[in-house]
Amino acid sequence: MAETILEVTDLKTQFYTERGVVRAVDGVSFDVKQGEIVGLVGESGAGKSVTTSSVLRLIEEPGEVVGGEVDYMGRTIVGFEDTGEELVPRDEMLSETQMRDRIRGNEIAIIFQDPMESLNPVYTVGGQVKEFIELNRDISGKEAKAEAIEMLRRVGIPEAAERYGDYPHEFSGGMRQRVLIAMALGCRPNLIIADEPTTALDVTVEGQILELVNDLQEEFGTSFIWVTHDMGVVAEICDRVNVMYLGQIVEQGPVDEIFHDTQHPYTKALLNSIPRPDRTVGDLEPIEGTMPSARSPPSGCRFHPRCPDAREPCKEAEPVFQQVSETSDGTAHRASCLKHEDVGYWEADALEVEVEK
Amino acid sequence: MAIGEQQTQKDEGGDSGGDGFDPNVGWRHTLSKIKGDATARFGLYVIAIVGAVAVVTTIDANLSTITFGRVDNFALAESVWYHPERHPDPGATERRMPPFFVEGGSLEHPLGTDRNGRDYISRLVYGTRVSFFVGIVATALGLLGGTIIGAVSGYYGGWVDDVLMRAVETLYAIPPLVLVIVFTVFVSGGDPDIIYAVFGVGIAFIPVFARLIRSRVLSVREMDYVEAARATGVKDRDILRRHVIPNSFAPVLVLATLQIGVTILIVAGLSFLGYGAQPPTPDWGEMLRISHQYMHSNPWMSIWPGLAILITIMGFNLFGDGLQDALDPRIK
Repeated sequence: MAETILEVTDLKTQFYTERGVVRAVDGVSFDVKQGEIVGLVGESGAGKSVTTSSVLRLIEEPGEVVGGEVDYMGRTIVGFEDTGEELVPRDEMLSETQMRDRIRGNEIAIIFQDPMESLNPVYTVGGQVKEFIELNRDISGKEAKAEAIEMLRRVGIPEAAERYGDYPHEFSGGMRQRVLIAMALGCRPNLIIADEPTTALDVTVEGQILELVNDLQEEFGTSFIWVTHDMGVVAEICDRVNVMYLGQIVEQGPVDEIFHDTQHPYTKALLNSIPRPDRTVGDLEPIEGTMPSARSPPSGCRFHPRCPDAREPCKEAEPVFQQVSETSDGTAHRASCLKHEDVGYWEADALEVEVEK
Repeated sequence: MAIGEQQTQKDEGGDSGGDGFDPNVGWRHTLSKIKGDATARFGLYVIAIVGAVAVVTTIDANLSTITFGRVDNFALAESVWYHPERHPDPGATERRMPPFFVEGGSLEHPLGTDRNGRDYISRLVYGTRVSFFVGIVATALGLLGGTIIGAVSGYYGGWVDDVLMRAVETLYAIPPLVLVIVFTVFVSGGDPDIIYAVFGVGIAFIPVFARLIRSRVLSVREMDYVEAARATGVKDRDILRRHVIPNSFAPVLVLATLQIGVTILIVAGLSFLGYGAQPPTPDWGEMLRISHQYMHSNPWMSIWPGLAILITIMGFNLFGDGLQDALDPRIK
């Protein structure tokens, strides 16, 4: 089995706002292995982007990573120790300068959601790709420029050398997304975090980009964390999936398992809310209601107010995130649902689903 | 990698013209818009003419190339402004002469002379130098200081922002003229000179620029490309210099153009009050100061420098307005 390069354990990130503490990420654990694409799925506000930002330590005031471990190939990105009174960062935790010079860009790169806003409008596209390559790799300016053109060509920009001097507004959305991928890949990182990179694109362009990423991923062997809210995209490119709800991972497993042996009602609801070619349904079933505020999450299972399968114990008992089924290759399939626990779920009465329409 | 290295390498790789920040494309676009705007174009011409006069008088203090006939005799240096034949004794009596179209005037001094018999055209032309450069230099000082303070303040936020902005607001609360006078008197130790006025006005205008650029930086720093730069390991200083400031600069540039007019006016006011240019340096404000005593007998003495100030400021304002329209993408 491939080596694990990133291991996130019980990560907690909070935002201290005037209206209270927002637990945006509340005990998230997952890992990424060499050469694999890991999905991070969930509704808006589930904490996906905060999770990825925490991994790169890009959380800004009033937010703060308050607990958990992030380990990247033996280097401690986030690590705390208990002094008895409070959690303090451990000594071996990388400093801000080390993060900037050794991790961000050259080890872990990030691709943002909006290709329209991720390029600086006052510089040429080529210049920006070159800047990032130069910054993160030990090569001269001339080489960096050649490399930038080569990367632009690789991601499918026609006449890359001629378009090197064009400005971002002269590129279409799909082309800009390709440029962002070229920027990230050009730095030769080990892991790329793609934060909903295809959300702003139309479906045909999305398809092309996904195909491109699949090809490039095979070629460069880069690992990906693919953040999305689109189960279709997950099915398309991910090897393993983490489903997030309200700051927690509720189900985790290989992509086939998630789709065909769904263990958590939320995942099921997500899947039911999109059309699928392998199933014929009369109507799509959107998930009722909206996600509650992370400022005061519901008691018990966080999904219970919206869960179609909710029963009495769900209101009180907090489900444990645990292995729920065996998979063929031994990869864990975990979920947090009381159905898999011995707390009297099956004997209890169903809860009225209390959502405002 | 050091910034210096990056810069030099950028220059080498400039053959495609596409490396890094290439303002030409943006400028070309802006200029073409200004070309189509008659008032902005007019403003630009006025600035160009006034600027040319200022430059020529600085390079060639003899003035012989741009004045006519015998006037050059009076213009050699500021201390020798007297007509050698007509007024052999400078200190003797009244030397004022009205413009040529008023009774008592002569074409020898088309706009007349001042109380010391110095040719008014020469004085006006020389005065351009002071007003023009003072306007630009003082505004540039304010722009530089304001940009740095505002950008740092907006980008870092938190206590940095609090400290800097409170300081700037304190400065902002004092009327600029009072601030500059106090500064000039304090720094010069009772011996006012135009150079102190320039610094004073520059400092007095820091708040205007700082507040404007800060408000822009607050929105620009949230842009994904700034986040992307941070996530790729670019240093804060480089993010500010390369990504945040260039994208926040357009409105500041417009303000600077308009502010030059205000600066010229303020410096003229300072000279009028005696805290700016000192005699015998020819300066429009200083000319106004002398001439206001003769308002009734020869109002033209006040009108000429007033007109000069008016035209120059109008030039900068028209151009500034045009620039604002040209830089605003919503106005086609």
